[in-house]
Amino acid sequence: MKLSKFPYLVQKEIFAEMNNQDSFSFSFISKKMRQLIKSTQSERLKSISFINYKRSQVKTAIVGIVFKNGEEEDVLVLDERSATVAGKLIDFLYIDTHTFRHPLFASFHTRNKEYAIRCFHNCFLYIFGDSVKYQWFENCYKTPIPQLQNVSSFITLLNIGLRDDDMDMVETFFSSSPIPKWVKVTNVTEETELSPESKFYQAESVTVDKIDQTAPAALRYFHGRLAFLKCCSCKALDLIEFINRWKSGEAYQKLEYLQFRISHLECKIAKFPENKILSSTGAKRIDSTKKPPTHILPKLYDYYDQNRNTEPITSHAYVVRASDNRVASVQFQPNTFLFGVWDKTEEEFLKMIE
Amino acid sequence: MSSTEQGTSSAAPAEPTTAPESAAAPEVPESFYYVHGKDKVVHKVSAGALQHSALIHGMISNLGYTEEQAKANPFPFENIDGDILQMVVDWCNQHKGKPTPPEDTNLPKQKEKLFDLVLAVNYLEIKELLTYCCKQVAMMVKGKSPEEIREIWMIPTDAEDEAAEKEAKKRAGKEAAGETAAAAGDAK
Repeated sequence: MKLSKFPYLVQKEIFAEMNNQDSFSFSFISKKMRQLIKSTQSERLKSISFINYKRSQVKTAIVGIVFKNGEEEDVLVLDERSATVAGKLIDFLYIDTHTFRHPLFASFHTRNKEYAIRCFHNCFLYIFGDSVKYQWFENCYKTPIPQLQNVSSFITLLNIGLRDDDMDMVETFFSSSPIPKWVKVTNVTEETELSPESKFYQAESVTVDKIDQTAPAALRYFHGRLAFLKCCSCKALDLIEFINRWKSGEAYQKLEYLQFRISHLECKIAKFPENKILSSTGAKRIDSTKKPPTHILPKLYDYYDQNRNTEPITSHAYVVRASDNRVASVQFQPNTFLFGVWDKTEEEFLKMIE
Repeated sequence: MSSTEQGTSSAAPAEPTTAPESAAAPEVPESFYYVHGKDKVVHKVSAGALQHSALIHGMISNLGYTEEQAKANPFPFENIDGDILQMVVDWCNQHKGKPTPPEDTNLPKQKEKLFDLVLAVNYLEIKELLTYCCKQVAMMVKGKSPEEIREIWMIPTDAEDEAAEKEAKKRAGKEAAGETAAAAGDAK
């Protein structure tokens, strides 16, 4: 039975009867088959919004498709092996041939990993183009994220720095991976510090949950847009330095939002020396009888957090950046310091006051 | 000419009735037509069963054949094997005037037969049967790896596709050169 002998409309009908996994298997056969899938399955392809690569084990990643209705289906397992793979570059296998519930396994030797993953990604790029978003979800620093076109990476790492050898591996992981879009590190210990040039600090959004007394290094070295930092205590000088460096334009040019939270070990309320920080940074105040505007932004992503937006900042205190006259609202709450940068000059900002 | 006639009633299309509206309409005798495939074996099929085929339905809807005319002029489908046409006729008879079920498990399991059936059904434009057949064809590769699918459906590799394209280009080039030479010869 030669598929090519069927008229186009019959081929289209056959593909329409296939499930998603089988359609994807098909697209890995040849360039012509990818063209055929693309031309016959446009309705199915339009219903997909994300291609997600998800690390499941150190040497295994699952490829899932996310539909516009929010449903997700795993279609492929990328399985890196140190042994040879049946003399082939990529060996395909269905693990459960009775229920077909498991996605297709694509096994390849470690030395062919980059090539194999790029092949699959190029298939997806050909089929979907810019109509979907490509995301890599990583939870392990032992294998770098491959450099793939148009892929945003989301990294969650736990217990960083709890073992002596961890930091070198974490450093190598970030230096060998593309700049992440979103990073969350939790249970970070005191001696943990990445080099200031690390791509970790270049992520668009970082969340650091530190379990010691010193401020996270991200407060000093972060280059991205959104930062959510937590540690056990904080010195006023750290925040004064942060605000002054932002005001001078020396650092944090892309910063849009900072949340700095003190998680006190004894559950006491930690109070920031608000007046000292505001006076040391030349902060200005809106007339207390007026209502200041509220700063709020969408978060990039947080799997564990139900809040899709940043915590709103409605504050009478603000600072102005010298280089471009941009304004940032500054707010102190029990245990939390909030800093929200407006895309407005001081004049424009003051016009928003009610 | 052999036949697989299954009915004996007259083939003449019904005359329009002129009965008053209040009276029950008289039963319309069913009309029959005849088809044959590559093997020339003629199958007698009712117009009701043939309604499944958009192609044949279109052909017969305005013919107004009598039984004799229909018998004398079977529709020839020379591109369809006799056993495949028999399957199609059987299916049309089984599903005459009935809603089609969501699945049909009586389709051939052998690859080549199913392949021929798909082509025949597509040609005859039998929409429901085509859907069943395509479902069955799709089932053949369910849970199969790309390599297995390639084998089942005889899909060439990229290298084979490229080689075939090169060969086709070479052939086209030679043909074009031949035509140019012939044209030059004519001009002389």
